[in-house]
Amino acid sequence: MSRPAWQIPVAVLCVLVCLLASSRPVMAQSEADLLRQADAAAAKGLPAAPLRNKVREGFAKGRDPKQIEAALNQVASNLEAADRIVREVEPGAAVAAREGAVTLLADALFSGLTTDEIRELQRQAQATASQDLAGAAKGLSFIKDARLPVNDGTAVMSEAVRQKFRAYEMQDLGREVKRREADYRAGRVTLQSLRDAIAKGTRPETLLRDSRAATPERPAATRPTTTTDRPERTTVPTDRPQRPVDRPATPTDRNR
Amino acid sequence: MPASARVTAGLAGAFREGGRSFRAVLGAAVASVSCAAAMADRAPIETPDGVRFTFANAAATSVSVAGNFNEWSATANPLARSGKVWTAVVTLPPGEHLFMYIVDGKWMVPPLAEEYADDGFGSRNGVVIVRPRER
Repeated sequence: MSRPAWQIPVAVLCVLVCLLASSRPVMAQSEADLLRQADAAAAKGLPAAPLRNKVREGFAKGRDPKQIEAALNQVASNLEAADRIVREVEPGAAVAAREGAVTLLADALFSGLTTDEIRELQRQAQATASQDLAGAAKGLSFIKDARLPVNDGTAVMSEAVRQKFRAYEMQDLGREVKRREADYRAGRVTLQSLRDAIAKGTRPETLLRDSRAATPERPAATRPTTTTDRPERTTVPTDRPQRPVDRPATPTDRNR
Repeated sequence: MPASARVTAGLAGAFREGGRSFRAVLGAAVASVSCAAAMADRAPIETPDGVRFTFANAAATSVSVAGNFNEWSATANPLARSGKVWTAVVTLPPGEHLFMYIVDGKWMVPPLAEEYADDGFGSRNGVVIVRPRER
């Protein structure tokens, strides 16, 4: 006995509905879910603040939970890698010091430095305190971001560690190199001469003062070099702040 | 009047007009530059009381600063209006702090900052660096 004619389109419709249902994305996670995920990562011994902050930041800015989860996973991954290195360098570090070093090192990784480059930096610098290595790595990330040779930057930062520069001084040194990126590229100053100056005992305040005096026209503050926000979504949840509309443009800022 | 004299007079008039136009344009430019300087945004700076955030926007009705120092709260640190400029002083510990402004409910990349950093969501945070006092 043949089926009634109406049964065929209904069957096709059912199949389509089933296919659509199966391809529907998993329900978006709530802020509480992602905070629990952040806490679970922190329970492995990672600093909790950067993890929870990334979740808070994402939701405050009205980002998609999937995007927030991806950002959270990246932060967790960088923290885990940083944590491994810190435990190798300073196994007995106090919790507070370790968390500070891990956070800074993870920041350097997020800025584009690799774990291999950090290990090479440590091989040359022989830092005994993880905070020193983290400061040197962060400083090196600025030099790498300025697209100057990482090997030469590693030599500069290793010398800075040996000369007992403080972590924030090494970061400022890296920032200053980045600020004078054009001078380094043009050969008006070199990373080799900077390393030599450090090796001769020139202190960071003198290095920074002389460097800034050499380029007095440069502003201390910068403007954003990439666009603020591009409208990826056409709708914005009404209970959240809207995303910025204007995005000044460019390419050279570091990532984080 | 001979043709040459008419041409000369015409050119002189044109120069006078041109001069006036130039002066007017120059005056307007100077005025706008002065105005812009008076209204200029500033990168956050350290003061004895904390970090001063400054945002110039005469048309805004509310401005606040959010960052990793206040769990990205859009309400925790409002800026107070003083003429066309909004300011707030926030006590921050030494280190790097990320921030953005919220202007009338919209998140905005700071117009000026010591550095900028990718926020991982396709936008940029301003970075304010508080150096240790011992320095």
